[in-house]
Amino acid sequence: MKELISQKGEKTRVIDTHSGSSKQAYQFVDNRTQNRFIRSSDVLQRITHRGVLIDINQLTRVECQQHIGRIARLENVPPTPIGDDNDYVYAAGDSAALILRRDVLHAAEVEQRRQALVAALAGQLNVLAVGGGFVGAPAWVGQNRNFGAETEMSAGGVTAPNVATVVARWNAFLNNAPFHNLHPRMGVADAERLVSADGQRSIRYANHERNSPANLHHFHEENWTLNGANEVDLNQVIKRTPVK
Amino acid sequence: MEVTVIQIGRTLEEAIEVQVENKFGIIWTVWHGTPPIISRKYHIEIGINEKIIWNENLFPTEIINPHIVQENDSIKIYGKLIKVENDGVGIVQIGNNNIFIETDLFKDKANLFVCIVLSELNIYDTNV
Repeated sequence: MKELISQKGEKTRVIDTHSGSSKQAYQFVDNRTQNRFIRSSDVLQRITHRGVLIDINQLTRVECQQHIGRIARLENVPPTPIGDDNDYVYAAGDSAALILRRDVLHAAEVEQRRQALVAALAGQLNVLAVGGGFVGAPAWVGQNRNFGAETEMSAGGVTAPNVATVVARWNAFLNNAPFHNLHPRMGVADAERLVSADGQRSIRYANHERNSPANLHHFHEENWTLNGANEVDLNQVIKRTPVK
Repeated sequence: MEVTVIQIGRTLEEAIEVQVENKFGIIWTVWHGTPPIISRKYHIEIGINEKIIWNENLFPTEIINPHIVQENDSIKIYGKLIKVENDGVGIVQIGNNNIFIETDLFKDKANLFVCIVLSELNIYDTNV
């Protein structure tokens, strides 16, 4: 059983009461979650199940969460074990190490989901661009007139992070097929936009939108209009599609 | 947001250090996109990848004028926090533009003027 015997600043001393040995451990801060943790290699870990050692580095995220829940039950006053909880023995550093491993595994899973969604949506940007150019467009579209002014607002709320939902949203917004990828103002090919046939609406899904942190992943719905000074204005709405 | 490129600095792995100027200030940024040309105007979007923590790098302020300043090794963005979503994502308005930030806030703090302190500012050419 390990106990914290002193704590000062970022340094914590832990002691293994089985062997009587002690060592210094350092607390770290996870920059993403701001959780404090003790580096697992600094802490004497001793999760055992019926006397058999369990390697924390082999646990899945779900298994980590199960252990965290069990520790909480066993640490309740009085303890509230269920099932075979009492067959497990934990050391003081195990909880922090389990939380760290769970969070690291979760972040990796989220990043994997974000990359898969980005790849699929980037593909859809091409698949949906079946049109050859502007159809029924006003005379100013694609003629490289000067850029005027832009406004931007956030729609609030979120669009579910799955391909079908996002593509349905793109279709509903553009609402003027066949879509293509010619820049609405300049008329040149733009692989990071999907544009309505008449060139007055577009979806922007470029490097920034794709590679924002998973929770900030988004796309833009763009409306292009000609203003009184013969310039092209852009009004856009940001649609967040967070990946959890 | 429109900016004018006034200096180009070091080339980084996937970006370029660029000094830009607009009505909100003059700052060194990390530019993402086709390499820019000095004196040319561009439209950009700001990306903030740092976790934003209340009273650590996000502060309430009485300054209501939106602007961006460079001070020593940090960049300060003054704007209006117009909303915090249920998952902690905040929307900061600077002029006609919105910036998403990941915060540790969990309740709505609409119409609050704030200062965000960053170690660097990433900007992305929107090619409009």
